[in-house]
Parts: sequence; structure tokens; C-alpha cells
Amino acid sequence: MTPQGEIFMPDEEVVFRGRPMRVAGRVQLEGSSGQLTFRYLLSDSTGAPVIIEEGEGRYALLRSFPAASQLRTINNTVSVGPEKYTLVGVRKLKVLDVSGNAPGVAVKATVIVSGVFEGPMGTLMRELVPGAAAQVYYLVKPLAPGDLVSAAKHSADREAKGRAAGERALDAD
Amino acid sequence: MEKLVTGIRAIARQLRRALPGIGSVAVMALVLALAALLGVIETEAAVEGCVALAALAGIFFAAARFGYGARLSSADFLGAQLAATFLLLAWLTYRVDDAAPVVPVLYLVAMLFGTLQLDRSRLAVLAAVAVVTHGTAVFMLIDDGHPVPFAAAWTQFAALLLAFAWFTFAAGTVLRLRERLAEAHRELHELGLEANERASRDTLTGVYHHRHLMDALEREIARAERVGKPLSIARVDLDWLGSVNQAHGTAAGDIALKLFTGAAAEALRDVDIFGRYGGKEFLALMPDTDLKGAVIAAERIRSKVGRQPLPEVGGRRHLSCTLGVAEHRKGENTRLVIGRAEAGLNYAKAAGRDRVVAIGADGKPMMAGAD
Repeated sequence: MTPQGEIFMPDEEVVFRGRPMRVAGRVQLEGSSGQLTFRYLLSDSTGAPVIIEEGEGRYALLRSFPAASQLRTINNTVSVGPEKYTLVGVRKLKVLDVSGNAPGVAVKATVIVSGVFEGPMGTLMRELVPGAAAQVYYLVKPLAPGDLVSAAKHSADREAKGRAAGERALDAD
Repeated sequence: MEKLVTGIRAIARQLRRALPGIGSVAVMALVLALAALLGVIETEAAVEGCVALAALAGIFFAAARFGYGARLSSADFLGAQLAATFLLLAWLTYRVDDAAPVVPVLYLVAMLFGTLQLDRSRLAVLAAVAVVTHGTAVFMLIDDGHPVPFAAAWTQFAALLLAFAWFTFAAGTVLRLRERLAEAHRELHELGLEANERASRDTLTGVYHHRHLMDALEREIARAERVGKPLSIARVDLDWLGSVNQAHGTAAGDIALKLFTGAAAEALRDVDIFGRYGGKEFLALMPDTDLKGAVIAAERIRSKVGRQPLPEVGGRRHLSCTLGVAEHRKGENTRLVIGRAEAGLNYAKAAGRDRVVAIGADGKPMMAGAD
């Protein structure tokens, strides 16, 4: 199954929420039903890196937690402070390709297990490599269309907008 | 090396101060040399005049170099230099009597420098000094029985008087032009500063924008490492902005953003730097502040923002914000320190928003407070 969103290559220039960034790493994952998912690590020269996941044409921002945060997990519930998140699904993702600086636990793994938890504050993702102790938590925030685009598309869109504004101004005359 | 460069700069500054006087003396020496070359005055007289002028130039430079000139304003210093030059020219008129046809030209050279830098009253006084000293020299020549053609002497004298009067008048015009130029320069400088300030601000909220913020963070990190003082940052997110936009439109969201930034900036000190990191994400830089102090400041922001009204969304009637706080560690770059503050922010969001989470030295999140 082919992904529906824009696919970015490693080192490609992108624009994330108006901020010019570079694809510093990319992981290509395959779900159990064959659907492809891409994870991107975006970075710029000064700000904190950003992890984006693309699946089924939708982008989501994966907000990582402090490295030493120990979340309480009881049965199918993860607690973050007073908030509780309940397991709603588990994905088994096969790592097909890793290039550049890969985000999360996928650096040397062939398979990662990703649990999706829902809570009042949104969606939490817990990832681990079977057989390894390390696990990573993300707060998942769906991105609005246009939040992440390639730099080429961004400049083309701006140009088109400028042209349209110019035409509108001419029409108004 | 640095000391040498500073020394050279100081000498250049002092030389610049003495330059008008030295310059006029140099031009006069050239005129004397030319007059000697053309046979208007004797070579011996020209040499004598040049030596006297060189000595005067040396005195001007020494006065500037050793700080005697520093006690006077630039105008007074130049006035003193010109007055001394006029005395020297009077002496030259008397001492080298065949120099008489050349000397009036030299007065004009000296006055020209004065016209460019002095006001009318100073120049009028100098003109009077020149007229008196030159007149005295000519009178002494006549008194000593030197053959001075009266008609030529009076014509010269009258020409000098008229020229001095014109120079004095022109000095006022030049001074006004200089003042206007200085004012235009000052205004241009102020406009440049204002434009810079505006260019570094976010158009909607008026706080610093991303690029300025990152430059400031780099600067503060370098300063913190240099002076060994702590530096903390807070990543601040306005809560529920998306819901406000959805429920009441983006205009209401913009108002909420303005209220939020106003309150957050008010809660910070003057030395702190607050700006828009992107979207509804903000960053506060707190120089000379350790983690404990930064958590107190973050709580102050949260409390102040929490008092701002919000168009009702999901039962909430006040704004709220979530903060992640981290202290810069030695050797850490901007990305790492922001990354840790952001991790704290993410934890605080997942823990229910409207709270402060600081990342301790061990990397563990510490919940600071929540209602």
C-alpha cells in the first residue's frame, strides 16, 4: 500500500508551521496490513528537533517526553500525573529502512510495538522494541493540512497566493 | 597587541582633533614655499616662516596628544589654534617684511578652516584678532621706517576686512547646514533603530519573533558560559487556542493570544526575553536564574495568564498556559536546552495542562504546581 501524504527525502528542505527545517532522519515502517508509515526527524540550526509521523495521508506531531520520566503503567492504563490514558490499539511495525538520525527506538530494531492510549488530554503513544527494556512515550498531536510541506511546495504556494492577490487587485481596478 | 591597537586608535583620535590647525599650517607652508619658488619672497624668509609654522603645528599636536586640548571644546581648541596662527602670521609680516603681499592669502587660508567649523561669534572674534594683529604688524613696520606702500597696504587691509566679514557671515550658514545634517543623521539613526526593533517583533502579539529569540538565546548561553551564571528557559504554550478558534473564530483566538502574551510578558522581569517560538508556542529566556527561580517565574506567568478572561470554551472562562522549564547545562547548545524544556512541556500537557513541569538535573520531570 502506498502512502498518500507528501513523502520527504533525507536532507530535504521542508517548512513546518512556517519554520524552515531539514529532514535530518527518516524511518520507513510497515504495518501488519502492509500500509506504509514514515517517521521524520526534522531539525533546524537552533530550535529543538521535531518528530513527525505520516500515515494514510495524515501527519501527526510526536511530542517526546523527558528521557527519565517514569510513567506508571497498570494493566492497560498509563498515568501521567493525575491524567490516565487507556489503551485503544496496538500496532506492530516492521522497520523497512532507516536513514540519517532516526527518532525514537527504531535505530537498530527490526520490529517495534506501538501502543496507542487515549485520555482526556489527547493521544499517548508508547513504543518499545520486543525484548528490550527501553521504551519511549509520545504525546500525539494531529497536524492541520499545510502544517508540514516541502520547501518547494511552500514557495510555489506563496507564489500562487501572491499571483492570486495581484489578479484580485487588478480585477478591483 | 590589543594595547598597541588601542594606543594607535588614541593617537589617530588626537591627530584628528589637531588636524584643522595642522592642516591650515601645512597649506600656509606650501603657499610660502610656492611664493619663494616664484621669487615673490626670499627663500630665507620662506624657510623661516615654514620653520615657525612647523613649530606651531608641533605645539598643536602635542597639546592634543598630551591632553591639554581635551580641557577645551573642539571649537575652543580650534579657535585657540587659529588665534595662535594669526599671531604667527603677524610676526611673519613684521619679521619678513617682503612677505607682506603673501600674508593676506595665508589669513584667508586659516579663516577658511574656521568657517567650516566655528560659529559666527567665535569667527568674528578671530577676525578681530587677525585685523588687530595684522594692523599692528603693518604699523610697526611703518614705525620702524620700512618702505610700505600706503595705498597697497590700505587696499590689502580693506580686502581682508571684507573677506573676514564674508567668512563670518558664511560661517553661520555652514553651521546651520552642519546642524541640519547632524539632526538628519540622528533621525536616520533613530529610524534605523526603530525599524530594527519592529523587524524583530511578531506582528500579531508584539513579542520577539523566532529568529530574534534564537539569536538572543545563543547570546545568553554564550554569556552564561562566560560569566558562570545560570540561565533558564521556559517553553510556554497557550492552552485550548484551537478550541477558541473553532468555537469563536480566529479573531477571538488572536485576542486570546494578545491577552496571553501581554500577561506573560508582564509577569517577567525587564532582563528576561519573551518571544513567539511558533504558532501558539512561546519561549521565555531568564538570564541569571537557576531552575528554582525559573519555576517561581513560570508559576508567576501561569498565575497571571490564568487571570485573563477567555470567551467560554468547554466551561472554561479564563486563559491558561502550560510550561516546561529547564536550566542550561554547561556546553549545551540551544537545541538541547529547548529540547529538554519542550519535553517538560509535553509531560505537563499530558498531565492535564495548566501546570509547570521542570526538568531536574537527573532528567526527571518535576511537577511544580497545578490547580
